[in-house]
Amino acid sequence: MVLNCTERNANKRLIITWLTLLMLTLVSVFFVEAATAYSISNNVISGVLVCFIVALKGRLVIDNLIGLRLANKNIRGVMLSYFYVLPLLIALGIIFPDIIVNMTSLGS
Amino acid sequence: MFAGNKADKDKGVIPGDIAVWILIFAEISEFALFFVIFIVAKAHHPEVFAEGVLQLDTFSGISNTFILLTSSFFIAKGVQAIRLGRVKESQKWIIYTFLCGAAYCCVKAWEYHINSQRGIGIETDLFFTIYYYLTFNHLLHVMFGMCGLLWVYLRSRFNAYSIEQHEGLEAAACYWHMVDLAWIIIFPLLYVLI
Repeated sequence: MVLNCTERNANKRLIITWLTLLMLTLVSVFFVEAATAYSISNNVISGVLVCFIVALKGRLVIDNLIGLRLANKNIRGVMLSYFYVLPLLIALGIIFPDIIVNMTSLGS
Repeated sequence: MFAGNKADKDKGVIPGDIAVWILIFAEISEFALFFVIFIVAKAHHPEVFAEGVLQLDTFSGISNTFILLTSSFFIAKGVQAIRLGRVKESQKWIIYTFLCGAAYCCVKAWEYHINSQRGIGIETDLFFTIYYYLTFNHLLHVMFGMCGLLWVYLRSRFNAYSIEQHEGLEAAACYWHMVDLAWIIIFPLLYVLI
């Protein structure tokens, strides 16, 4: 099968995206495992890094695997905002759990 | 990757069709609600959640993440193939994706089995209640996605898709990517973040 230059580039992009996603998964596990192994009681830094990786993975899937990078920008905007807002919420939950408890408690 | 080009960008082409994107937005909204509930519950019971994460089989979580990411790669290759008019090649990638879905189900069943052997169930504590609710709900979505893949494979076998007409295949692919996207958030929440 003869592949032209555009196809080769598209294939290359897909493979690089896939391998990057696998690597990011391992890196996120490593961050938390390392934090636990070295008895770092405060998991905030590793937690925030993991949230950043989640946002990055989401963007890679949305842009390169679904292919929204070159498609409808409204759908891409909604999907990307999902992957910016939710990891941010998770990170805020890790950094400021007390505020979340206060906001979601009834009475005193 | 949908082999989009400059012309596609200018037209603002929607992969699949708008109906599947409405379904996808509804599904990810449902998952977002679960995630918010998880964040709030974790803030209220940090010890229970930290202990719960440590009791789970991380290897199963990593395996399923690899399986779903690989399946997303396979279905993207399938869509790329049909966009180039390579029907047989596209069918091959759909089957690979379906097999990844089956592998995911097997790993999940194995994980539930390990949990039950350890005496962990849906009523063990709040963490496991949310864990089972989230993961079983996701498992149902995987199964639904597999049914979609099987459907587009069968349609493809009856020459329903071509270089000009492959909307249905793209729609099933988009749904499958959504299942993967949901897992990208579920995995660190349940298996990684203490």
